[in-house]
Amino acid sequence: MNGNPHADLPYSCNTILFRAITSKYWIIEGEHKPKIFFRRENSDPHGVSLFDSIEACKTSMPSGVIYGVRSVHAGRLYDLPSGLWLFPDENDPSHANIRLRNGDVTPRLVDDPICRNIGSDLMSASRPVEYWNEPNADARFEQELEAKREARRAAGQ
Amino acid sequence: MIDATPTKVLLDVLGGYLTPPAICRPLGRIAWTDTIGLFPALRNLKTLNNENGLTLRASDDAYANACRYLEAAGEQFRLPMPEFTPDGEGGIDIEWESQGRHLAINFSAEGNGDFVSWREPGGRYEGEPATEGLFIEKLDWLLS
Repeated sequence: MNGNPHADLPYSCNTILFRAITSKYWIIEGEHKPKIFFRRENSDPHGVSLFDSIEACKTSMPSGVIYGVRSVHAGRLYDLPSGLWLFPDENDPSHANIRLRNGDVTPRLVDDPICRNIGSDLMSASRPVEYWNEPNADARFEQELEAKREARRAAGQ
Repeated sequence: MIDATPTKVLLDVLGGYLTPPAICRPLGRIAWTDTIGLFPALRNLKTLNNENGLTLRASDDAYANACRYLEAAGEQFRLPMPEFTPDGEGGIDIEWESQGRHLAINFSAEGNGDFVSWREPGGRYEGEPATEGLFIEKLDWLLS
């Protein structure tokens, strides 16, 4: 580890990215399931896709239909036991991929059952965005996030 | 073929309820275990519409393999209702939770990527390629 551990981070630890939930079958009785983060070849060929906004999630599918959004905390992701990392998409600044630290894509469920641990880990580093389908959801998210950070700063003083 | 005499008709009808034929067989008789409740949910996975680049509809291979494993399990256990979900690639994922223990079995679309996975409460998943013996062993662990 060099003198500045943050120098090589693709995204700063306090960055929030978003995962689109593309099937209703991964939400059971209103509860998001780890399958949301399983990689699938057709939809995540280069890694588990994340976007930099809720709006980008909503427009990510040609169908225009998604079923929910989770916010993913970059810093928590970096610390997960599954050894994951974020790789910005060179062709789309709004998009990034989750892969293993060595750059390999994460295994699919049919490749290796550790896919389930990766899914569970990513659930712990993320939260549902309950109001994802509202207009101006990104603005609301930013406001609420800033309010939480301000509260933490105030508590820390 | 049903013999027309009343006694034999009655015996044939009773036989359909007293023997454990598998529900997946085309004859359609009811399995004599609680797994009867699982098969409609499993069959439903064959009717799903694909969307968003995902193959949600279960393949014939995945469905047949899932039937076979559940049928084998039903001969030994009364199974709690699991969660049946599509894996998004034409496969089937079946998960149970009991007293904090998790057991899952996934059936791949092409039948070559099936795994049994399990974890203790608070633990991490382990897994191995699926065999009926392993599945039965882990069901016993789950339900013990």
